[in-house]
Amino acid sequence: MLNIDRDLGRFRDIIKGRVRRDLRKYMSSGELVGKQGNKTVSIPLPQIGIPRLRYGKNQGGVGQGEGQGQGPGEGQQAGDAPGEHVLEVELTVEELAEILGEELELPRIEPKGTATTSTKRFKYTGIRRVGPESLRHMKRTYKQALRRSIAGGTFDPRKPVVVPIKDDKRYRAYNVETEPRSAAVIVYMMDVSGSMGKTQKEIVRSEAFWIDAWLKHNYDEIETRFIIHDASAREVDRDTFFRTRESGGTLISSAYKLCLEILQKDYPPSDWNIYPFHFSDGDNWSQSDTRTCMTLLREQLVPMSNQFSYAQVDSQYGSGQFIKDLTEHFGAEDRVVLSRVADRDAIMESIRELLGKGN
Amino acid sequence: MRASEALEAALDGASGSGRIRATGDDGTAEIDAVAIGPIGVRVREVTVGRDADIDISEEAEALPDRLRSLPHRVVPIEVDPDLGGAILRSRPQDMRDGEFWEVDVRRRRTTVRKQRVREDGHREPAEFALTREQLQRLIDEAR
Repeated sequence: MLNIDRDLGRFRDIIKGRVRRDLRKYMSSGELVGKQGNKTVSIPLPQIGIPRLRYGKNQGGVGQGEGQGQGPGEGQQAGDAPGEHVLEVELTVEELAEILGEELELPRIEPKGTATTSTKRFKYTGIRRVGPESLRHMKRTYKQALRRSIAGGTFDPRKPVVVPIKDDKRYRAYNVETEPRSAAVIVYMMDVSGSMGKTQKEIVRSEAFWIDAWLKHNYDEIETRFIIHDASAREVDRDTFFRTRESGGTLISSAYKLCLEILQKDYPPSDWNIYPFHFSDGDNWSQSDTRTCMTLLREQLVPMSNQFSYAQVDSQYGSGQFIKDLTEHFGAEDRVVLSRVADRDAIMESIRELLGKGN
Repeated sequence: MRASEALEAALDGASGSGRIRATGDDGTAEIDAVAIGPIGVRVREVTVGRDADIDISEEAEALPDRLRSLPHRVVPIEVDPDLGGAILRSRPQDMRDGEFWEVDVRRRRTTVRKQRVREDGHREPAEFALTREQLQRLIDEAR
């Protein structure tokens, strides 16, 4: 291993250590959520100074410390001291999920036995006598030429020259292989009624980010669907999911019905691992709708899911009744996981509750 | 006679606790009383009833300005004419010790109650005291 690789490895270990140490802060601030790219997440690490070579006379040496006069100066002048360095490092979502799993001691998820789909993959594992020159298998071609020349008595060990002819040529060919793959679908449902404010939505956004990361770490393929609801439910894209606010009342059953519709249409439980997550402040409009929800859950949604998760996000007006109703009906059900999120600081514990069962 | 006056008259002969309901020319008034005294009452909720449906959106918009006898100004939180109701609550900045006022508007009734957020985050109904005069005014404003 080159020194630079070792150094880089150490550097990444330090970063991971820092991220792990500050994980609670990252989870509650939602800082990471806004900085995610396609596959990586930029993490600001203000504490790490970057070593730098300085040219010039070796006088006085170089020191490191708190420094004075940080920040901008007064009036028209710029500050005379350097500001704090904020180094942004990139970690893959996979690495983040690993850190999350280690820190929260999350068990690995075992995909359902039959809940795998198969995929066809083309692998160049075969050999053919014809094919394009670009796919010519040099080793096999020369092996064939050698075999022919030995068999024909033309091979001279003292002068081992082997010249392949057309018949010797061998080409790589693909075979179609069917591979099992574990696939999962996450259906996020969120109450966007008037009582769910900006803070509540940010909490949901943070939770969804970490749930995504962890489930992606556990499955080969993840599909994500988003449903928002007040008195009626509709499917939306991710962006709309986190930005919409309505003023209507709350009928939770509308979301469960739409979720069932989507699952029944696109994700048969025999092929998919199903994870519905519902976020609400728990203020359902009526007890009769709550009863409808319990029936839908008991008879359809829970049986087809690996795990049904409900997180109740407290508002300034406290926590609603719905989580109590769910506890009463599904307290003993292993596949129903309930969590209450009082504020941002409770996100980490909530994630642990939601993902800690390993379903 | 208005329902608020009819309730006032009904309270004169009442004592103890329980639901007390009175009917007037403009509808009904009802309280869930915890204690009834000669000057005031301690209640869980106050409800006014109407004979005809109201427009939920209009009512949710008008109530904050009309309900002057509540110590907090209430604002619409959820308004849903399709569901036939609206919820108004105190503004968060007015809340003290986790207590807030809640007005539940339906097509044919309006209920005023007080809620308290406990330390564990759960919500529970809170009793509140009103003088007889305040009660009468609240009923008239909520109508």
